Amino acid sequence: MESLAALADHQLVTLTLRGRPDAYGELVRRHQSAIYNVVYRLIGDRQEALDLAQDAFVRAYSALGSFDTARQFGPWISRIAANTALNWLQRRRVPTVPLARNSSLSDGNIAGEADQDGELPLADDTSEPERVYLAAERKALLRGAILALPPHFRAVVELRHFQDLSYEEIAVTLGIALSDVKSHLFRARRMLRDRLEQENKEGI
Amino acid sequence: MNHLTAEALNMYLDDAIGPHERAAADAHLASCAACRGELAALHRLFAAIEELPPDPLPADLTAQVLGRIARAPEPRTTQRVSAWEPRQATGDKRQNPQPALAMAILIVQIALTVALAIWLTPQLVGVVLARLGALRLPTPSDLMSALIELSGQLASAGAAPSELSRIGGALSAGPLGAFSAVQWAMILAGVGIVWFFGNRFLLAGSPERRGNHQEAA
Repeated sequence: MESLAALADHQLVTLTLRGRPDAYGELVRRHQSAIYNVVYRLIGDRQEALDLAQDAFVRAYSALGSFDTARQFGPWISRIAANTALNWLQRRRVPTVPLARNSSLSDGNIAGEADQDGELPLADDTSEPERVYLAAERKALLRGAILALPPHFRAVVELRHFQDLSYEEIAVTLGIALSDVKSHLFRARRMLRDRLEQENKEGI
Repeated sequence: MNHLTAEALNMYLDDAIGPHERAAADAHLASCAACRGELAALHRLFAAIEELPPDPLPADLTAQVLGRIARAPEPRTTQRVSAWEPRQATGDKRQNPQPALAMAILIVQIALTVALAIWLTPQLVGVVLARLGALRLPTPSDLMSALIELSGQLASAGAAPSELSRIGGALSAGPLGAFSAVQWAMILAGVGIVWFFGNRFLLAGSPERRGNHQEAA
């Protein structure tokens, strides 16, 4: 039996369609982290994100026959995952509650967030540990601010910034008008900027 | 001097404007510190969003997903139509043990449809044509007598086949009696079969189309 790990995604899709579920298992292994993160960014809950990522893989499997193997599998299943998460948000209609300013302390991920320090300049006289801490806190704050956006705003931010889709592709993926894509995206960014500036003034 | 709007700055950074608009924006930005500041602030936000690190995957999903798809329908099928979905279109060349059973059930269903149509049609045709014949009468007194006659016919319809064939024969002379009872039976059986297959194909097609819209690959 050939090694599945050596095959390209589209070859694994073809094998799956010929009745090899283990080939689909390899696709899951490759993309599960990215798909989990698509969902996690949209809903902000780790356990739910795991469950919905599973749902997205099962839905993708059912729709696999419609997948065009000339295209990339990753973006295709990412869109399925985004839609799965968005449907879940719309069904639940849970009011989004922004994370508290100090919530990064309970986030359990400070080290991970601190690894990629420095998208915003900090004062030069800040000591290194403090700098790392503040950068982590700022990232947690931004994550919370994204989660505080209305679901459709969050979805366009996800598709534009993390999946690099054009306005037209976002409109097709979410089934909304092009004008709504623009207005959701611009308003979402305005809200994020306002929120970060407000937190800045409050003393980060 | 008109400053660039927030929308224009967003579209500039999203690379969603044409070359002429971009050249005009660049010309303005070269001479306007305020717009350059706005653009830089927006750019910092973009960078901050896109540099958010991924969350570590809390658990491997492979086993659960494979467990679920083992119980789920195969690709491009749904639970409702799994036995009927044409497999050639999916590229799935595996042998499936279900088609023989499914075909047997289909044949039995068609036979039952035809038998039921042949058995019921003479009675149905008789009753329906009798009613239509009565409604065709123009005056109230004619209508009343027709209704009395019809009720008598209906009362005897269940017990007297000869009476039924007499009614059918009498009505076949009218404009709606162009077909014999056997022809009506064949027509209804045909409609039943068309309905049966039509529903199967409609059911087989609809979830697929819905899925394609939703996932918009």
